[in-house]
Amino acid sequence: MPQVVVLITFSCQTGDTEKFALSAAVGAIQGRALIRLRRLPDVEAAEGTETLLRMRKEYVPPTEADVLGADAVILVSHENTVPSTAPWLGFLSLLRKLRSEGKLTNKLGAAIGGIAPSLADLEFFTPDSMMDSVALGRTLAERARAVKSA
Amino acid sequence: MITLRRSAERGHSNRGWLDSYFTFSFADYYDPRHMGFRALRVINDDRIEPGQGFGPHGHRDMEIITYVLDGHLLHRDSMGERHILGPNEVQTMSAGTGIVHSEFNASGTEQVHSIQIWIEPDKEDVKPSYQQIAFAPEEKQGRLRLLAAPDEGATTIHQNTRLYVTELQPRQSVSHTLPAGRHAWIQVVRGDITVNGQELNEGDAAALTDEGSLSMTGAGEYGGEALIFDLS
Repeated sequence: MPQVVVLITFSCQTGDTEKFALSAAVGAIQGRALIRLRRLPDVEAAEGTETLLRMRKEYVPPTEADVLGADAVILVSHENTVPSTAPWLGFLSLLRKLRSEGKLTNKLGAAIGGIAPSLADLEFFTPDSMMDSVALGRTLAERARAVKSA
Repeated sequence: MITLRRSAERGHSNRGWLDSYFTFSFADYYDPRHMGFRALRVINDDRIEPGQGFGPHGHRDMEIITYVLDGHLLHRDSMGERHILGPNEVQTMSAGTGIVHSEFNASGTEQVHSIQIWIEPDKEDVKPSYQQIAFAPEEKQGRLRLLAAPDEGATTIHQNTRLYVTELQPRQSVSHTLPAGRHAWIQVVRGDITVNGQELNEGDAAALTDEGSLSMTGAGEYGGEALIFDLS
């Protein structure tokens, strides 16, 4: 059984979206994947709440190497987030650049939250509204393994 | 038969914020001669700098036991558990179908010295769980204090393994019977202890097979503390 790596990248200020990212990570582990959890950096170094300070300490931002080393990528955003907001702009640009260079071939992607509807060009898998984040993580891990096995 | 695993022979990694000694192969340390003992897969001797730690990462199908010698560790996980673990406590996490957790030094000023243990479970896909118990220091002094077992009396693990801790003053002894077919791994975590006549120093370990019994005596000027794994 090939080992697959799922990269979960999220943006969060309050801890709410982090919970969805953690759930997606648990689902990916249930799907027997290794996980990489990454949080997009804050745009402004505003004074943080306890939760924000904790997240800044616990997570590192995603890198190109993280994307290239992953078999699947899950993007987790708040439902009100739009892709043009600063935390996402840079990372989505990176994904588009890598796709144009053919470096996302055979990698799967999924997105939940406000950024999901506008990622058609990335050909991401958009889960139906009934699928929870655990199921999404598990599904993507299993699909990534199937792709890798093929 | 007793096989010794000396402290200086262990794998070692120092990332600045984390100084670790690996009894068995782990992360970048790989030695096919030291992949574990029976169901025991990992014993990592970690020193974590103030405020530093392991960010959120995942585990699956592993019994993960943490024992703190000095300082305090802050644990958070995807089940919503948030606890601080200190000396004379034990934390056991059954990863089962999958869990994400983080572990950080809870202090901004003092180092944490902890032992992390991984034991392979006897069944996969169990429901993830978290347990933490505290005990009085006297419960391990001059006797064996059960920390983890498949049945009652301590934290519960999904494996036919019993983990004890003992702290022995110089010349103070404890013994433990190993029925036929049972094995033992003794990991000295502090000070000096003699195991069936063999002197072990901090970080040393001994694997016992077909020994029948185990006799440990505090040695050196201050005695020592050891973790004892009774394994099938």
